[in-house]
Amino acid sequence: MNRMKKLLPVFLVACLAGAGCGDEPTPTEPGPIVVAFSEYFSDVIAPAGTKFYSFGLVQDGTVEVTLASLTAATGGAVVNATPTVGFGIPAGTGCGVSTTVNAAPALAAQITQTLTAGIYCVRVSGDGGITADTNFAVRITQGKLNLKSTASPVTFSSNLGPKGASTQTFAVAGGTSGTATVTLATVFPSTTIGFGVGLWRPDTAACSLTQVINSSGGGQLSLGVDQGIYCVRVFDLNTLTNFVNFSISINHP
Amino acid sequence: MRLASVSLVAGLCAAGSSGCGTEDPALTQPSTNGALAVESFTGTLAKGGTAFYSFTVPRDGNVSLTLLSLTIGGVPSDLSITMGLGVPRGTACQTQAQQGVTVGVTPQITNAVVPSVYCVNVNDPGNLTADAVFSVNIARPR
Repeated sequence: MNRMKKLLPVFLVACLAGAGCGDEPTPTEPGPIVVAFSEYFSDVIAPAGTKFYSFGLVQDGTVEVTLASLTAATGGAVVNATPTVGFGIPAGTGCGVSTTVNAAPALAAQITQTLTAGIYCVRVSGDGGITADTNFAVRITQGKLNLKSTASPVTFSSNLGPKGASTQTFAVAGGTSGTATVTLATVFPSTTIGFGVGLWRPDTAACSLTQVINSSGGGQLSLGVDQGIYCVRVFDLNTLTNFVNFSISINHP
Repeated sequence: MRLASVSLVAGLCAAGSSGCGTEDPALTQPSTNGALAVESFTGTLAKGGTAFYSFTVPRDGNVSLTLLSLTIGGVPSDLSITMGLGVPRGTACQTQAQQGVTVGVTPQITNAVVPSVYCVNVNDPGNLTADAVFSVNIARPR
């Protein structure tokens, strides 16, 4: 008891000084954890078929869905179609969609949703001009990506051989959107080759083409782009018998 | 004396006085015996195949899964397939655990869950001799 009496003033002083008397020191607030990433849904869609993909949104935020590519399952040519892309919640043996659009492949989102955390799904239907088995690629992006833009404008030169292809990637920073313009500046000696712009798939290290044209120089593609990684692919139209040199310029946000 | 005082306070509380610190749980806690919804997942499970079904659970509670029937060529089968509760992910149902089940009338799997979207996954681990028609009952909080 005497010992307690002696210690009491010490405790009081310590309490007044704000230390160790039940009130925890004000903790340092951790910064908010921001989750942002892209995931990719690719498969083959048959005419009149449907495919869906489920994903989790771990925090409230914005989700962007982009049907980026349609190419023939046989031959790989770009398919001009506007299939139905739907967004919803997994239900039963499918995806219970609440939003649908008929979308041509693009590099800017066709569906943007502000959502609470939960589980959602994207569905692609084999309609809108899908007449044969077709490869598709859909990008699902949550939040603002931690991604910096690559240099722009930039010129890229290389050689292209018979049956060959060359791919160059570029990045558009998180939270950025705008127009990307790709120009096949020169082909030497002059001949017609193909080039296209598409979605770069880090998961498969592949370029899923969105638009393609043929050119012998001067051809240009302009597409709206959101944050993400893209690719330019230059390829032989199965007409080359010797190597040619080409140069392309890429101008993006 | 101290004990007597406490007893008196307790007595007043028991007599129905409000504001005594301990409230009637029945008045303040939501019931855990809420209504159930039952969904039926029926389909054909290919030999060596997988099938899944997604559903939304709107509030806390138990999800019970019952493999009600399994027939091969119209004949009831007592073969075991695997079944599990999971979360839709990508193009599949991602389950933490699956267990072998045979047809029965009582739930083979029961899990306590929080509100979210879940899925039931059925899979042939190699037991089926041919494609099988199955029926699973999913009892969940309504």
